[in-house]
Amino acid sequence: MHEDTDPVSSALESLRAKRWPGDFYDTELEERLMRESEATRTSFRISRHRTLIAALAVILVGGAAFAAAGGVEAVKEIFVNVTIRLMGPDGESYEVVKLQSLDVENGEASATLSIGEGQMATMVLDHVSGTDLTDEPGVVQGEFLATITIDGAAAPDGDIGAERTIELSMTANAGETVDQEGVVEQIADAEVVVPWVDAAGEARELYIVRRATETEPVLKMFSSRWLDSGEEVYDMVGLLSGVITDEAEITGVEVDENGLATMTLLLEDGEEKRVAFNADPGGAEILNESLERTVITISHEDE
Amino acid sequence: MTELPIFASEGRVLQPTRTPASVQACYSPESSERDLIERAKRDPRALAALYREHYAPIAGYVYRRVGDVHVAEDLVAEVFLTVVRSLRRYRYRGVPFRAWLYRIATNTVNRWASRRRRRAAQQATERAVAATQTDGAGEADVGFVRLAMLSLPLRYQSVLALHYLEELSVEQVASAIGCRVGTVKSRLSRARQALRDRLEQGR
Repeated sequence: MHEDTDPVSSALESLRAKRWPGDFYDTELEERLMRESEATRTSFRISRHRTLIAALAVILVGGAAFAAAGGVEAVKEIFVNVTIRLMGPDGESYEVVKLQSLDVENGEASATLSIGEGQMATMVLDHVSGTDLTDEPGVVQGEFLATITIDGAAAPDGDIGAERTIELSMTANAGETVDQEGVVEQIADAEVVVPWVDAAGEARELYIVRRATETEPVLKMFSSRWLDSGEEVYDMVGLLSGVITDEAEITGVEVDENGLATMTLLLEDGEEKRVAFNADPGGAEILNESLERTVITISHEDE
Repeated sequence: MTELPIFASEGRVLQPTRTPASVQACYSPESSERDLIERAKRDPRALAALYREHYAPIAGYVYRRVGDVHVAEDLVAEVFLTVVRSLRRYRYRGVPFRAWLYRIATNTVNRWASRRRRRAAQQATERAVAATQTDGAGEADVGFVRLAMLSLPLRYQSVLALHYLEELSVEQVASAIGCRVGTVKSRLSRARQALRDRLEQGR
């Protein structure tokens, strides 16, 4: 069927013909934007002087480490994505996802991580139900109690701890050879590919892959990098599952030269969620430098 | 290195008599877009120039998607407020500023549309039934077409609107929504089929 007689084309043409009936610009909106611009500049100056206190609203999802191909030894570690929610002074929120390794001892996993501005948080996971935590390879699924304590300056409201029971799904990659071909196959079907240039001037790409089967995490994030040999390899830099469904739409992804990736998701209920993660697995600490307007507040979240 | 898409000018000329001298002096044809953006981060006059250059095209895009002037005005305000709040973090990377605006506008409209998808599908069905009862099979009216489109998955609405309503190339759409050209093409194909199915439900 010729496109010009195609009902779809006719329908779209009828919408395209609708012109904006308003003015070239809205003077009231312009004034409002000027006020907002001034307020934004003022609040940025204020936020730099605030004491930054950590807040952890932790959403833990499974993570796996893939070492590079070419005969590099496999990694024996357990990784977990830790989500830290940071609030900006204008109410914007960012969730920073870090791939964090855990030490497992006697069924308890713990980690200490930097959350910016010299603050350190200690996270301990205690097994509640389901598969126990061990350092043996395999899929771990179960319920764990996450206890987070934060060192550093006291919180404004005096409470710096958060305790919640959450569902956690982790994959341990221990003693397994990395399958680069498998990764290449997945990224060929990537829903989003974002080229970026790192601080060293290397051209790299971030791939976001939506799952093909229900047993996988909803989204997987891979990042390319170059070996000295000139070979391009891929690392998994994050997974998202549990808190999002297949209906979640990726509405935007950006990566800056520090490897800070910001992904915006539109959830099924209309809520917008922004996730930040490190697209550069070898990159330096990003929390301090990239999230300029970070006012970290205490968050106790019930699920 | 991938060639970056270039957005064609809308061809809309600012009316000199409606532009204050202070804004005119700031916005000259010779100013590069990058220069204007950097100045807009600290100079209100440059910000005003940036806003006036892009307001109508973005408003048109939003209006064509939502179909209501007042709703469009509210959403466009939301778009430009987001721009103002985020401008400090914006980094010019050789991609036209309009691509970033389209992305923000698409996200804003998608948030609005996501709350209306089910209702839009119901209304499209009701409208189609009413049309067959009055004048039989005829050309789909604009309202029905818009409802049909609003009932599609958001990722389909976005590519259809940007490519067919805004007449952006596939490369420009990919740049606006941050995905590969191949993804845009396959999404467009599926989106057209989904829209066809919706329209045929009304026949």
